[in-house]
Amino acid sequence: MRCTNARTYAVSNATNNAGATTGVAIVALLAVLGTAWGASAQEDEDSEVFSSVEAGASIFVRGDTDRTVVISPRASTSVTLADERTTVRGAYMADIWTSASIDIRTAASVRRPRQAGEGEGTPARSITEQRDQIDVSAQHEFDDVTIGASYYFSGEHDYWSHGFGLRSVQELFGGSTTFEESARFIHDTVGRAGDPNFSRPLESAGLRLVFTQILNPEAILQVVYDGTYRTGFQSSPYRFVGLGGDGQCAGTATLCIPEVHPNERVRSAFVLRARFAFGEAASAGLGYRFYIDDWGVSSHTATAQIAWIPARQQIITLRYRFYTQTAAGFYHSTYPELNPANPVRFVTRDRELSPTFSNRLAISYQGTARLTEDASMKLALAVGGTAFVYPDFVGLEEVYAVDATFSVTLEL
Amino acid sequence: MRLVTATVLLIALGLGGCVTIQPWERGRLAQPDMQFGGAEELAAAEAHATEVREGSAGGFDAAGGGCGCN
Repeated sequence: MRCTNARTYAVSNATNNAGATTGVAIVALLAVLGTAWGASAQEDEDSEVFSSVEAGASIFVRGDTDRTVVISPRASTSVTLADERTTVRGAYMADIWTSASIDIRTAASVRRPRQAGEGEGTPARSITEQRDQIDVSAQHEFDDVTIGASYYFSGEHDYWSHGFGLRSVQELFGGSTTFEESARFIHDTVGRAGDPNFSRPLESAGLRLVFTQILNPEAILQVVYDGTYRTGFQSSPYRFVGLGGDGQCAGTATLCIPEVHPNERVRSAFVLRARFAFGEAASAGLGYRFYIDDWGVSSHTATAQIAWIPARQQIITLRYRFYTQTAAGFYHSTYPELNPANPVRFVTRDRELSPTFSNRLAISYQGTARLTEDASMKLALAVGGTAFVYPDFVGLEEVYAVDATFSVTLEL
Repeated sequence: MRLVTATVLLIALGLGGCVTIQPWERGRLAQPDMQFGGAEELAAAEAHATEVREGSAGGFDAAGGGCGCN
């Protein structure tokens, strides 16, 4: 669940450590299996089962000033069959996070009364949890059409998600124009720690249309529409909203009630982005996204990147991202005291529904080294930093985050 | 909203087929730095961590499922 898990605060470290160990073990197993599969394919070329195999492993680490640390190991395998038209991919990723964020600190004040000897400055206990995600997909290329299907599962002890996707890509005008349509259906089950009777469904259906046009041998343009309809439980079962006072249950609010969000949401995003090459050694990219939904949130996202190719099969990329959004229509930093004559229908303490903006800067290196005539290894490293600003959220004004990703991919 | 939709559709329809670049001219466009999604092994976890901290979602490349607790 979101960082609002004010559960029993008796989360077993042993359980979490076991989960983390399991995740790392699965990552290692997938990487080894993928590599072995690829090696087998190479040794048995006469059978011509596979034309290429990739196996990779990566780790993402993120920390921020909101007392949250995330470690995400990931393993992936991609196999292209001998017909060179069919590709099967699989990936496993874990999110192992430890947090005492503002949500948890706020919820803790409601769900876990301050203990004897704990002063105002006593930090809330952190929570460690793990989310596991498995993605599998397959696609087959016909002459000018590619058809694909995908499935994912994401699981936590209090949130489970299954997603199914279908995708079609058509090449038009000799391949200079590409049109892609994909549909996705997601079924989530929202639970609540310590309450085995709490189970709420959340259904999502989405449509994505992607139009890609080659402008000239050194420029390409893409237009995207992405729409989603969600119906079901979309609040946090752990988050409480203070009525009256300063709006904080830990502060001077006179009453705390569970967060209530609307059950339906229609979301639309439009993207326009382009890439421009400057000879063989450099390129630039620009992107813009406009997002709007029927909760009243609208946002603008601008991206820019510059890539430098210092040597063959090596890329250094600098990326910048700016994001700004308006608040949901029912969001208020503070809510008035309960008035039976004029009840408030929806209340939230979700900072993601407050007005906010962020700036992100990241740099990455990707390099490929040939190991043998048939095998190569790709190394990638990325480091980034993000500054989030919440101008109208009581208790949190800014969050600064740094993250790093390292990956190794073997190509056979 | 309608204006944005109409603009996007016009751009798409207007550009479709107006330029044909031969396959042998697309070598530079096939390089990794010209791909929109970027390297998945670098982008997957970072995209998820970003999306769960924003009120908006979608449009860019898929960021995975689940509630996004981190």
